[in-house]
Amino acid sequence: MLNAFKRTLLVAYLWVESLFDYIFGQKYNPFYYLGALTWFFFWVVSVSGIYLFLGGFDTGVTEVYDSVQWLTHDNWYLGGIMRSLHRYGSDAMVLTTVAHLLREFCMDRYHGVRWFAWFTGVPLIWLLITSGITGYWLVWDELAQYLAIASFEWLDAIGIFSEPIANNFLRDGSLTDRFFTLLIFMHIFVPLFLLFTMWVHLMRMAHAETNPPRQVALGAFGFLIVLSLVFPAVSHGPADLGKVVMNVGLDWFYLAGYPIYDMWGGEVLWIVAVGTSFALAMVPFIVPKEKYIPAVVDLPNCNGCTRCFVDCPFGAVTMQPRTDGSRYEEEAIVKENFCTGCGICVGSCPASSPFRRSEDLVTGIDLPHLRLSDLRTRMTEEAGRLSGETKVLVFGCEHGVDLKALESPEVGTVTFTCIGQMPPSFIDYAVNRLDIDGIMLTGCRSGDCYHRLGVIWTEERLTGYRDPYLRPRIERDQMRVCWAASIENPRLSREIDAFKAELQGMKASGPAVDDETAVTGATGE
Amino acid sequence: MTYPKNPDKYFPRGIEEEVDSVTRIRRYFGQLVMAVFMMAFIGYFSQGPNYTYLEPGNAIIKLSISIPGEKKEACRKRTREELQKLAPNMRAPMSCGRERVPVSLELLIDDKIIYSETQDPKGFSKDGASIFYKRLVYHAGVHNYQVRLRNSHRAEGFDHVQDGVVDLAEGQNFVITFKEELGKFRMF
Repeated sequence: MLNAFKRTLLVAYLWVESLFDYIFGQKYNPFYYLGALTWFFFWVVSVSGIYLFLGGFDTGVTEVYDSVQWLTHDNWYLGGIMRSLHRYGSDAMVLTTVAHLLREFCMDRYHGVRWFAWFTGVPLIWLLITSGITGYWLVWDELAQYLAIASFEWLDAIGIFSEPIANNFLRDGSLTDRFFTLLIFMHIFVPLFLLFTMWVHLMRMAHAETNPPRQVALGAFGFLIVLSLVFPAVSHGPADLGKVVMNVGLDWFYLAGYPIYDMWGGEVLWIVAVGTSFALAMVPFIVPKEKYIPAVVDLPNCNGCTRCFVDCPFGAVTMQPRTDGSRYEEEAIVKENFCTGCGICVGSCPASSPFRRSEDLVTGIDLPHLRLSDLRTRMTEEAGRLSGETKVLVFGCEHGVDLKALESPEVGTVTFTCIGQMPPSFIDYAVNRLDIDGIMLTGCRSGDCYHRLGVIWTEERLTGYRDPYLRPRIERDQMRVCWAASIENPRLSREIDAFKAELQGMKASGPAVDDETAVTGATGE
Repeated sequence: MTYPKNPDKYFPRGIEEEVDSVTRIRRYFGQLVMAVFMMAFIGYFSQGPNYTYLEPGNAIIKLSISIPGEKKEACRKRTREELQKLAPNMRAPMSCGRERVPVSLELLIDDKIIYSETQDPKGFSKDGASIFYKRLVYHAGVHNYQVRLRNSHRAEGFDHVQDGVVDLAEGQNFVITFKEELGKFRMF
């Protein structure tokens, strides 16, 4: 049941993302930056909130409504826009948070070391919703009145207070400036704690992206500005505790729990809220998953170069002083609990070269279940199997397109755990030793690597951006890259066919050198 | 390590998409459509659809009462033997239990009981006040009401009773509290 739901959700996401890939391009598809966009919206909301607080907001319970009205209407060109940015940025934050959560769930990104980010994400939802609700109180309009009474009644349902806190809202005059100041304090303190928890959320993610690309950020900000001008956020009528708020326009992103409270009462809402949170937090522990097999360091082949330490997406590799009396100063060590067995460290190791002559290819750091020597053997066998005019090897990963379906007499495949496990020297070896005409690299969609950084590191290694580099002697026309999700088999097939046709054309006319795309750098051997 | 200033230029073919002008125009159009859709989605759901908390023609009667019941046991004088058993600094002549009796509250509108509840005292030793907080929806109009409360040992009848007539306006928040110092109900 759960698996069927996950599978359906995953396919839905992949199709929608395909559409967004077409519209925005893979590089700027907002779906690949949901976490970073949430951070971005947080800063928009923070800056606009600071402006509102300093720019005319009055904290007195009788003055606050008028001050917000002044900001919204008289000072609309600044205060009004800031208020709308504050509102819509917060709403967008909920939207990206929910989309991020569902996406990580259906893409199975909560196991192993990722349990920590998942687990700490649950209190983030509470803090986010609380930040929004406390913000709505401060306007002190009819909506604020309805929310404040219902919120405190809900808190009273816990039964730990000697007097109902909701008594503060019995009638006009029962609410003091002092209590209102407490509400304001909550609206400042809770978002600060939210920020702190966001930082904790990323603690076990190396190279965490908290900023979306500039183009995506500008697009998101522009969209918020236009929305603020077209649909400015406004208040309801002023609060009047002598009257009941009969009809109210809710912000459903934050306030959808209130009708549940009205229908079923505080106890039921507590059970729903706490029960859902608990179930969510337990997901990494109750949804079964094959245990990750961690990478293993082979000290005689480790020179302590730190590349695996730098490239590991989860900080699972650390460096420590040498323990084997070698002349090198440091050695890599794998924290097994943090390792997801992605193999990106294998791709980064300078000893991971198929050109090495040792019979059993041993590298500095390797995966026990898919060793580099196994991959070299697989590549050699596939190359030997190929026949025909144009021989192409496809290097891919376990989370992208199923490569088996692409195999043919002219197309061989090698599946890595992650494309980042592939040392660039494999391309060199395939072309120069195994007489392969072209290499097609594939893996998860760009920006959406299952192991976070495999695609990025591969691009950087191929382009001389990052160690280990691809040797410059490889003609770039002999390579293609097609980052594709698991549902994109037809697209990858088309790309391979087009690539083969191009390779045939090149063979007929002789090799061409493209200075524009030439890459210089050290060898990966 | 010094990175190239324009890394995109160095990417091998295939990583950077080559987009023709027709696709580019389609993309701009698609981005516009997506932006308008998202604006409409966020703009609409951030302030609607409206939620009806109270149906027209109704008002709220809110009971908010906090009152301690009588002590469950009356104070009694300790016997000499009892005093001897206590530490010298604890030998108070009177022994007073902390526990209080539960409090019952009823509200009648037009001679019909619409609320009847008995609340235990708060606190681990049951020595605190009994607390009532209840929102009741009732239709607007002129109504007779009676509110009555029992906080003593008596098994029947009430210690405090108040009758009255209220003209409930639509959407009114009619609050009933109890002023312990005056020993009577207050309405506003």
